[in-house]
Amino acid sequence: MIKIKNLNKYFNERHVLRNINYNIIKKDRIAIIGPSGSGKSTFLRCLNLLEKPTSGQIYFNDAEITNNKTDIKKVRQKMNMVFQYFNLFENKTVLENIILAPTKLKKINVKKAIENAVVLLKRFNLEKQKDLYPKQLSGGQKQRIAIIRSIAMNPEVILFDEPTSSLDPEMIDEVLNVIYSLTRSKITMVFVTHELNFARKIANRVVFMCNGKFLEEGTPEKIFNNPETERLKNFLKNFK
Amino acid sequence: MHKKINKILLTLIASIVFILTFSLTCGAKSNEEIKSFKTLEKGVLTVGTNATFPPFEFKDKDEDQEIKGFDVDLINKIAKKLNLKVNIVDMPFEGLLPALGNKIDLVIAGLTKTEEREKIVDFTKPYFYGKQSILTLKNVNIKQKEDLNNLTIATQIGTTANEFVKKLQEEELNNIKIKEYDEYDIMTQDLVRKRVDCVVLDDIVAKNQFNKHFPELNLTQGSVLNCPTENYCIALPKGNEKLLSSVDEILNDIINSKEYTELQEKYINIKLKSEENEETKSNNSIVNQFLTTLVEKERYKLYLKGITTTLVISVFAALLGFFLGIVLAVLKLTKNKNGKRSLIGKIANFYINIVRGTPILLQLLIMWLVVFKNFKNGVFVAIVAFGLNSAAYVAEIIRSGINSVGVGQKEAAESLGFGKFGVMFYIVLPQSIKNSIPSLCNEFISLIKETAIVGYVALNDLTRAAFSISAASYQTFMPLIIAALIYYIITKTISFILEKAMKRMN
Repeated sequence: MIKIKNLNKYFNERHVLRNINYNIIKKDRIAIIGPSGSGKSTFLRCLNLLEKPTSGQIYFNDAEITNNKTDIKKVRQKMNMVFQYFNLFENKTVLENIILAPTKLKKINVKKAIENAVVLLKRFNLEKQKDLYPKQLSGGQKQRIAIIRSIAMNPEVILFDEPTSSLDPEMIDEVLNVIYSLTRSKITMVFVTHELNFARKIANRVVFMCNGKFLEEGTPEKIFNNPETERLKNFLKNFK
Repeated sequence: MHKKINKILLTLIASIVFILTFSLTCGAKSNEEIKSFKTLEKGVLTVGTNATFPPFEFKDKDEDQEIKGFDVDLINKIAKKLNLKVNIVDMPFEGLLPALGNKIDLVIAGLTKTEEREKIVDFTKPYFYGKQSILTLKNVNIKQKEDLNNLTIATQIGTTANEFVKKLQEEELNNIKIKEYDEYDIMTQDLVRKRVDCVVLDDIVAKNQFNKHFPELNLTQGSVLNCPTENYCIALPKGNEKLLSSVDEILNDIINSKEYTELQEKYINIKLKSEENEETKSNNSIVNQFLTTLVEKERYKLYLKGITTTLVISVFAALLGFFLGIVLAVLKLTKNKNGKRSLIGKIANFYINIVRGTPILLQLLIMWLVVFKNFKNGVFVAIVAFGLNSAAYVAEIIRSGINSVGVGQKEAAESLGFGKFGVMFYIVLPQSIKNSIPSLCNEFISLIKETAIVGYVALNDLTRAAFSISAASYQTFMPLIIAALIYYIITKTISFILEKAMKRMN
């Protein structure tokens, strides 16, 4: 579904992503772990071109999105992103946040979009908040709504960029539960995370990134129980 | 008997018929002669003037702004004798001569015959000789040119007196200082306050000012300085000899008749006040000043009209500025492929810099005199000028608002599939406008105050109302203070309302 070929990214002189090749298959749930500064977020942001790769190709459903001819806006409608700092639209209420993209981009009529939004809000127990503004919500609520905002677009892929890193510990679980509930759907997920236990629980494949490279890759079983490289062993040791 | 009677009757009838036909053909002949005057509209004399020059042409402030004056009465008399109807068109003074022959048949506007003007139009014989006079304080006497040495002389920009004094300074009296004014009222007030030593100006205006400040001033004929007189003439397009000679002929008749003295009596002759007939000075208490300023002759109506003009200009200019400012801000931030400011962005930036770097008064005058020189509606031109000016400031406010919106907001919208326009329109602009509201309110309030200069393009705004009341009521303190107070109340009320609205929004 997503094919990455020889991906390189430089920030000025700094080589942040080093020749990455990888295939993501439909319904994959890929966790990317690794030390800070290893290029995890940059890799994720390259997938939807929020960051422009310096060289290499990325294919989404066989279309090369690194080619200028591909309409990246259409691709992004199917490949949403959830951010570390939620990034809910501050000028809009919870409900407006959720229905904005479906109504404006997919031209779903407002009534229908609201119905869908309310169903989702109910499912995650956030219906009471629907008319509040982002600044009236807790961090956990914001992130759950950001996820709902993505789901409302009915995407094929959701990219999670450290979705729980800026949350208070007691709110992390409520967000993880939401993400966990998505594993039952058809949505392909790629997440950059520091929650190793969580990664182990929901990912079907785990990537360990270090210094801009995919150092090790495999099932959670393999990565967490039988790490091959010293680097990964060290990394895991610190977390235990 | 019968035959005789018949004969007489026949002769009678014949002669009546003869006389009738004769007189009719005669009448027809003279009619034809009149019709042969080429006018733009058949049977109508379209007259151009600029009704800001009392007592020759001015708009009556009390009665429906009808144009009156010496020139108007004179041209009506002339047209009557030419058997033409009069249609008076009021236009900017600079537009009068260019309009001759295409929009108007002739110009009567206290227009002085000059060599330069004679190159492009024909002039009739003078119908009035404009003299200059000198005003000084009571203790100063000017008897000859040399008395002016070392004095500061005030004149009005663009007048004959102004040119004369400048020439005098250049050629003979290098020691005089010249101060140039826009408003004769302020000029004489400066004389009374000893900021200048003497004022040279049009005789009629001088007489009015003399009376206004009685008994503080001295009035001297400009002839002691060999001040030139101005020959007021009617201007016609080149080549209409027939109309020119007829008008000259009629003008000659009128000038030599009682009609002319009546005209002078009605408009021009001003009785100078003198010590003997001057009554003791009226009661000048604050309350009395207040009453003369507001109540007397219903002058508060002038203020009300002024407030309306000020608010109409401010509100519409603010609206224009707001929308245009947003567009400018967005354009200024457009980037090309290399991530640098695009050409459009550079143009927008250039516009903003030019507008912010030049005085609004000049911008207004450029709009009025150059860009919209054929527009009569001053309010419209003022709205455009102030709107374009405000847009530059609004653009900077909105731009900093746009920059203050977090990157995350844009990325979130982009990652949902919004393009540049969608991100800007749905997410960034609404937030930046909301963040900019306090600055935008300030911009609106300063706009209201800035419109105080629209008097320069002959609009009667609040400040102008204060000037006119000051001129008419012989007061300075009260009319100006009241205007200032009204501005204060307006701006305070508006900021109060806006503050309340903001609180509610949050």
